[in-house]
Order: sequence, then C-alpha cells, then structure tokens
Amino acid sequence: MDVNMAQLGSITLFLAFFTTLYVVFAYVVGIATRNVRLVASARGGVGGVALLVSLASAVLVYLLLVGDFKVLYVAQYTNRALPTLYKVSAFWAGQAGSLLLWALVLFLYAFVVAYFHRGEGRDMVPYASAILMFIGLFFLYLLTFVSSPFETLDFTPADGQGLNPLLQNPGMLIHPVTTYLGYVGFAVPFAFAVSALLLRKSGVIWIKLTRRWTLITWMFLSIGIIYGAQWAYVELGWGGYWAWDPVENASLMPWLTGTAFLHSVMIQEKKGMLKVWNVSLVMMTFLLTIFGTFLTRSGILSSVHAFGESTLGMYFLGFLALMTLGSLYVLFNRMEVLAQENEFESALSKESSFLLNNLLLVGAAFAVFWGTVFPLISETLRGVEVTVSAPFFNRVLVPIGILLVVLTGICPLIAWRRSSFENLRRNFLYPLGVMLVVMAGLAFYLRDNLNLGALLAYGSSTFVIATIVLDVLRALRVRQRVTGEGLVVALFRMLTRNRRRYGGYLVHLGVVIMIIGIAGSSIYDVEVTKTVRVGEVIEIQGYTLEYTGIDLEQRPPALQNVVANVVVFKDGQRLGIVRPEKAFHPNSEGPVTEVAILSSLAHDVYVILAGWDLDRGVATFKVKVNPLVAWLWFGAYLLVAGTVFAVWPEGRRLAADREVNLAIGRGSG
Amino acid sequence: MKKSWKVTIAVVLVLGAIAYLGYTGFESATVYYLTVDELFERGSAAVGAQLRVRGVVVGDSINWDDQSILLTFDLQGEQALLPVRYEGIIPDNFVDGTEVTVGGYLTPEGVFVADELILSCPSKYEPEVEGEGS
Repeated sequence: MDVNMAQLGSITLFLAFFTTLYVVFAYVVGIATRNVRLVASARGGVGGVALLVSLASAVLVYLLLVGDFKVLYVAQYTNRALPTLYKVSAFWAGQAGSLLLWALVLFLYAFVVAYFHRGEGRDMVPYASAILMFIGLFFLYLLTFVSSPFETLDFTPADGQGLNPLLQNPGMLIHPVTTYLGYVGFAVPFAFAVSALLLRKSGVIWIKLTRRWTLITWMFLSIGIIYGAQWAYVELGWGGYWAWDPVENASLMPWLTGTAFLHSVMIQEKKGMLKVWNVSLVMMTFLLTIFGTFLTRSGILSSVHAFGESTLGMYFLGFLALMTLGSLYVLFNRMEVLAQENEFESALSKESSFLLNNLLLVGAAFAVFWGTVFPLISETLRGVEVTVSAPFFNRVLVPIGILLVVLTGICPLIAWRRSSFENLRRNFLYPLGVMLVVMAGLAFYLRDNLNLGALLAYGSSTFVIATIVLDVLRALRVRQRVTGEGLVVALFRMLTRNRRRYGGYLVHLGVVIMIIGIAGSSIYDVEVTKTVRVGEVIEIQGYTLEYTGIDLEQRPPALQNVVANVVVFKDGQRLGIVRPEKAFHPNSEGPVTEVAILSSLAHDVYVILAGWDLDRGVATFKVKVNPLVAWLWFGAYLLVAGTVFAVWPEGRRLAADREVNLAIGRGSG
Repeated sequence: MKKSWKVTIAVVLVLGAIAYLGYTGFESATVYYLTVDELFERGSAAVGAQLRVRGVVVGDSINWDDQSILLTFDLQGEQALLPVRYEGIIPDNFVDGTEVTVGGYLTPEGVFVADELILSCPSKYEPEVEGEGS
C-alpha cells in the first residue's frame, strides 16, 4: 500500500512534467497563431499542473507522517521518535523536498496569475503564464529525472536517520517556507516585465499589476531572512545572528535588488523615468533568486549550511545561463519601448535621491555578490583557495547602510523635480536638530567606548524617526483643521486613506529600529567564558549570574538533557533563571547545545553551557551580553505590519481627503 | 544635456566610492584557505600570516582545560599532522573524524593558534543521495 503511495507521487510528478511541457507549447503556439482555444486549453493545463504538484506534495507529507522508511527521503530526514510537526517540516529538510517546495509555490503562484488577473493588462497574462510555466518546467525536470523525493530503497529500514537536531527548531517551520515564498514570488513581476516588453507596452501597467505581488514577495523574503537570522541566533550557539555565510548572502542579494526595485518603480509611475533600469532590476532580482537556489542547493560553496555535493549544480548553471541570455535578448531587442519620458533636473530632487538609494542598494548587492563568488573564481582561475571574511562585507556595507538610512529620511519628503531651500528647511531642519542633540547626548553617554559607526547609525536613525514623526503630526494637524475631526478619527482616517505612504513609513520605522538593534549588538557585545562551582558567580556588564546546579532530565526525542540552572541578577535584583543545556540525541555523536537567553529591551543575556563535571561540581559557561537584539526582532515585526498595511485595499477617498492633501501641498499619491 | 552630465558624474562618484571601499577592504579580508598538507608544503613561509586551514580532528588528541578555557587538538591531513591551540569552548559535533576549519596563524614552533573554529558539516546528516541504499 505504502509503496504504491511513493509510486503515486512519482507518477504525479511525471504527469505534471509532461502537462507543463504541453502547457508551454500550447501557450507559445496559441499566442503565435492567435488561437484562443489553444491558449484557453493551456490555461486549463496550468490549473491541472497546480493540482498535480499539490497532490505530489500531499503524498510526500503523507509518507513523512506515516514514516514509510522504504522511501529514501523519509528514511534520511525522519525517524519514529520525531515530533509530528518536524516530520512535516522534513518536507524541506533535504534537496529533493526543497525543489518540490519551490515547484509547489511557483505553480500555485502561476495558478493565481492565470485565473485571477482580470481587467486592465489581461492580454499579458498568457505571456506571463507561459514564462512562469517554463520556469516550472525546469524544476519539474529536476524532480522527475534528477532528484526525486519519491525514490525508494530496495529494503525497508527499521527506523530512519532522523532530522538533524539543529533543524528541530520552530525556525525550521517558518524560515524555509517564507524564504521560498519570497524567492519564487519574484518570478511573477519578472514574468510580467518580460511580457510587457514582448507586447511592446511602454507604460507602467506591468508595475501596477505586480505592485502587491512584489510587496508581499518582498515581505516574505524579509521574514525568511530575519527568521533565518533568529534561528542561527538561538540554535547555532555562537552568539550572533549573521555570519556573511554564502547561503545568507544568497538570500540577501535578491532582497537588496528587490528593495531597490520597490523604490525605483515609483519614479517610473510618477515620472516615466528609469524604465530600462526597472526592467533590469526585476530581471536581476529574479536571476539572483535562481542563483541563490543554485548556491544553496549545489553545495558548491563550503558553508555552515553544508548541503553536500550534488549533480544539481550543472543543471542550475545551465538554466541560469539560459534565463540570463533570454532576459538580455528581450531587453536589448525591445530597448526602443523603454524610452525615458523625463530628465533629471536637479541633484536636490526626489528623483535624484531615489537614484542614489538605488545605486547604493545595487552597489551593496554587487559587493555581496563579489565577496560570495570570489572564492569560486579564485579556485577556478588560479587554483588557489581563499575565503573572504566578514571585515570585507562590513567595510563596504556599513557605510552604505548608514547612507541608506539617511536617505530613508530624505526620500519620502524631498520635492519632485527640484527642491527649494524652503522645502528642505521645512522638512529637515527640526529633524537635523534632534539628530545633533541625540548624537551629542550619545557621544557623552558612550564617551569611554565611542564608536563612529554607532554614533552615525544612531544619529541617522534618529533623523529618520524625527522626519516621520514631524510629517505625521503636521499632516494630522492640517487634517483636523480642514475636517474638524477629533484626534483619533483624524489619525485613523489619515493613515487608512493613504496606506501606501503610511505603510511605507511604518516599514521605514521598522528598518530603522532594526538598524539600531544591529548596530548595538554588533558593536557593543561582550562575552566571558568561565568555569564555576555551584554557588559561584560570573560577573558581566553589571549582570551577575549564579550557578546553582545541574539537573539531568529526559525530554524526547533527546535521550538525555543536561540542564544547568543559572540565576541572573542585575543590581542586586533577581531577574530570572536561565537553563542552558546540552541534549544528547540518538544518531548524533556528542551533545547538542541548547542556548538559554534572557531577553530585555536593553540586553540579551545569552548563556551557553560549555562543559560540566558532576564529580568536581563545576560547570563552564560562555556568557554573552548582546545589547538591543530585541530591537532587531521588533523592527522586523513593524516591517511586516507596515507592508501588510500598505497592500491592504484602500478605502474610498472622500472629497475631504483630497482637500486635506491639497492643503498639505501633496498630490493625491 | 548638461543636466544628465551632472547625474552621470554623481553616479560615477557613488560607484567609485563603493568600489574604493571594496578594493581597500578586500586584500586584508581575503585569506588563503589551505589543507593541512598545503600548509606544511609552505613550511616556514607560512609562519605568522593569517590563514584558514582545514583538516580532520584526531579524537584522541582533543584536550580541553576548563580552567584556562583552552582547547588543544591535532588536525590530520593526508600526510601531515597539525597541532592547534584554540582559546574557547568545544563546539557541537566536535569528535574524531569531524572536518573542521581553523582560522589563525602558525607559530615558529609549528603550532597553529586559532581564533576561529568552524565545523564544515555534521556528517551524520549529509544527504548522501547518490549511491546510498545500494
């Protein structure tokens, strides 16, 4: 019975592959010959494939849940003792399952595109669908012929090998899925951009149609990156959340170019400028998601994410080359469609500030790209193996990051075309003042431990917050004066009647709060490693940690948990107890560290049990005090909330809203 | 025409600044990544330079002193054996046969003083897709 299920999975993928082949063919021929029926049949095929791939995914989930160890994938990533939730998450623990997840997300997206895009720009849908299905064809080819999750063994093992204990963390449930939702999502704006070019549409219709897609995709990628960082922080036990690991870089690069894209499309919408640039950006972003999948899935780079060598690499490289050449061909072939409608008029304008923002984001992406692939280039061309370490990335990206924060304050408020002195004074004088006061205060507060990077990061962050607060208060006051509404009503109406602007502000606030957390935790972290007896204390940064003993516990699936009890005090006050542990898992040599973290707005006290000796009554702890880490996570929540707020359908605008907008001297945008 | 020149100059300046940052930071952050054997081939020429070296941990050689928080162990190459000193705690999965990368420098006495210790892979969980089960 169960073997039949694995076969069912294989057959389903097989059918999906050939249906997709037909769909691509039917779209191309149908579009070329203007055969409406053929295009309609292709659209039906998209639904069919989405159904088939969903079915294959359901079969894999079923096999994982029942623990059919005759299936290689199930035997490799699960065992009997594994909690149910992690059995499901084993879906994407390995290569074949990850490819299936990619395909599943892509075909569901393609289904939504094919069936739910109505109204203006409808003629692009068959083109976009064909492109999405062609991308899907590649993944289905891999799943059917190269790396199938339904491969079976010729015997049935008594138990599986189990899931790597490092992957048994709630992060495993969220990080891979959101990252893939983000990665794959960029295929949609890419497909529409190429469709617009093929149809010689010079307008912003493809941007308008994909604005929500792009924002939501970008949000998922952001969540994926942040949860990856948090997972590393709580699980890997080295006390940090970002290591410039190639796999991390792989997700950061499309995020950077995608962020650039989100901003530069506004210039095209309002001014008809940067058209070539926008198409290039969305192509670049999509190609970087494929490149990122290539990096993580091919095992070509040594990395903490150790995925192991596989034959997949060449396929990905070939596909990447094909998509790159195809994109370039379409871009150059249709260059005349993308003529610019306006010129840059002044260096002090919204257009210029957005251009600078874009250059910095893409420059950052390029620096990350260079640092990530240089070891490959060096090994291939010179036969010399090298590694590029964190100082390179920090040196380039910290200054870029600080400039970007400053722009975050300037871009939304600087005037179009040419900014007057009056515009600059009105919007930026007070925030500059607040910034200087805060920087002076901080310089005094941190005088023993002054760091230029920290000072600039906090100064620029303050500037952004002040610009936002000032603008919101001003608009609110105007609204109240014009409409006579009460404070709460006025605020609510103002925010919800211009979701794009205020959602953007919320995202900016989130990013700035994250920057505050990143600067604090990367510059002012301290650590100490010490061996203590029961009753002895470790002092660090005003915290006192008292070791009170070891408990031996047993919490399945671990065989044994060695748990240390550490009471944390600050200024003589007892804050709580932390219980760092080492867990012994079956199938794992040596124990696995489980970090304990006592988190507050000011500091994370991060405690690792490094060793213990019950006979001597001693235990060794590595303790880190990481300032402001909580801000990083809190900022990320704001970023998500802001994006959701911005994409939420906007209510009807009333005459009063227009009047208010006029009164603040703003268009209706 | 004049206006687009201004913009072009600004673009070149920004890109130039980023390239300058990258160029000046690159040399110092790029370190050789050697195997234990390659390190020994370089001999005394390798002494003192920042390097990363990878090899396989020899289980019997692992010694950790919890008072001085000092971890010493030998890294095995194909032929050569490299003694390593690392001030820090024992990472997870650090057992006989684990492939690790150490970052640091070689002393004239032939001991590698590491300030970073990275585990390449928890080998148990590698998806040895090809050939497994046969």
